[in-house]
Amino acid sequence: MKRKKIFWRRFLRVTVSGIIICSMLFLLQRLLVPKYSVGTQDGAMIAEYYDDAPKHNLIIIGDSEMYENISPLVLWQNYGINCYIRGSAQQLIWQSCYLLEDTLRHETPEAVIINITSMQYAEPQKESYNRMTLEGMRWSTSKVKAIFASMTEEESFWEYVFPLLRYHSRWNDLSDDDFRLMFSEEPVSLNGYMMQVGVKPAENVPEGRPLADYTFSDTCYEYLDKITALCKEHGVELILMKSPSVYPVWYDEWDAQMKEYAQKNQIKYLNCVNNDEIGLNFRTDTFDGGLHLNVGGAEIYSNFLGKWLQSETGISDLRDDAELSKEWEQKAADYDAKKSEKYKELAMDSDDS
Amino acid sequence: MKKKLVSLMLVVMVCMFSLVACGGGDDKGNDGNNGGGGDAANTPNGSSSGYTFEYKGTSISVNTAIEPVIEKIGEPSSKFEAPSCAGQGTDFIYTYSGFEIDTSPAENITNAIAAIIIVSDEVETPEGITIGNTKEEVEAAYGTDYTESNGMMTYAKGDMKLNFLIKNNVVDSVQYMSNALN
Repeated sequence: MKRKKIFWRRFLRVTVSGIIICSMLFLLQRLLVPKYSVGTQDGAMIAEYYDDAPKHNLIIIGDSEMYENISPLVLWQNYGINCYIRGSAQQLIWQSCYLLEDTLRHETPEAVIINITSMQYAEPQKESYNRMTLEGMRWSTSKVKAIFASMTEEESFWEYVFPLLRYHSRWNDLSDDDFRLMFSEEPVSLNGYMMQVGVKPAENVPEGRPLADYTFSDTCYEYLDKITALCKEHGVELILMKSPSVYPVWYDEWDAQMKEYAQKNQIKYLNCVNNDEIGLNFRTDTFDGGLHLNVGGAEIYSNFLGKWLQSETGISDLRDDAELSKEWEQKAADYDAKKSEKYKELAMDSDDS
Repeated sequence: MKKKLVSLMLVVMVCMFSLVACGGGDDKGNDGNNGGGGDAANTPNGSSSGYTFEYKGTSISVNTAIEPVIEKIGEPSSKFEAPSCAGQGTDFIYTYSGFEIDTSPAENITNAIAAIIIVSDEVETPEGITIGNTKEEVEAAYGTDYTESNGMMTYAKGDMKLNFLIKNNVVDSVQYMSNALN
């Protein structure tokens, strides 16, 4: 009887100690991990997706050419397309593949657009970009596979499992925001769209450096094949897209390969580079000299895209859905407020300079 | 019981302190609130032991800062700015007559020369090769110790590569490339 009592006392002590240690480490981790809703926000959108109701009929997956160039509000207001952009900075094709796999676990949209700019990267590029994509993914086999496919030589899987191991040295960089946003980050996007309002005309755009070999790598094709197969398996219409931009160069040889791939796999490919039908003016519709679009450019482009989607894919118009319409009313108000706020900030910055 | 609990708490504090303290020197990427940062392992050291290009009597090497070069050779005819995603620095392309210089941010150099590309026969390498020379002339100037893939002759030296893109047996492009920044 006495032995049993001692055992339980010890068991309780160990359990309580374990809980205390784990809680303290958890709190420390929450404090030390970077908060993407302040500073550089490009790592925030992947996680924000899970907060939106999984009723999207269009999912867009890709890098900044997606999350800065397409306004989901325009797609909704003018075409009734309920879209979410699963975007992250310099998202690689294998990351797009696993984000698609992750998305299809939550919902089955009518169509998926994949940005194929990333086909040019055969290797992981940079840890900070990897983290902006991977940290926001919910834990699943897709996330594990995405981590292993993405890690650079210096990275460790365990640093993704326990971010404290990676970020422990941030202790002397902590700000008030780290404490304020320990448990809930503020949303930075509207359905994955990150608004930019500045204007910087595209000028002196250089020609692309000649390459020895323009063929996309086998690795990239392997993941594009997986994306194609996943969409077919789930009955989702896949669209490969190159967003409009003047730089980096999208070589004709790359365009030809994507055309051929799309034709072979009977999927759609939309190349928006130098596409006059869109109606973009790269002197006024870009905030960074032609790499990405500002909000005016994004709205023009989204109008073109919505019309194209309607005519080429017959995607549903969901504006009759009362619940969705109500949600979008609020989102439209948030969008307009953000737009006004950003223009105000821009005007203040101009006055300062 | 009290003593044991106190010791336990001390152990936790020591563990946490060691986690915090050991981090001073090995920050590999994210730098605070923005999730950004550099890649220390691939950062040029500010000097180059590879092939150099020459213009107006000034030696120009990859992996070194652009500013002293501009001071000597003058302003480019045009400059293109390409900010990277998520505030990870800005790449620049400086265009001069017959060649361009591409820069990227590196750990110790804000604008490090990542590539020098000869685009016309207005300029040539110090070894006398330019656009339009034959493959044999490249071999005569640089030797035969090179690798070749898809028409690209590559001479590796130090922390850079000198590439000659050959089309129809003549040089179509000359590229001084940093290993770390491309």
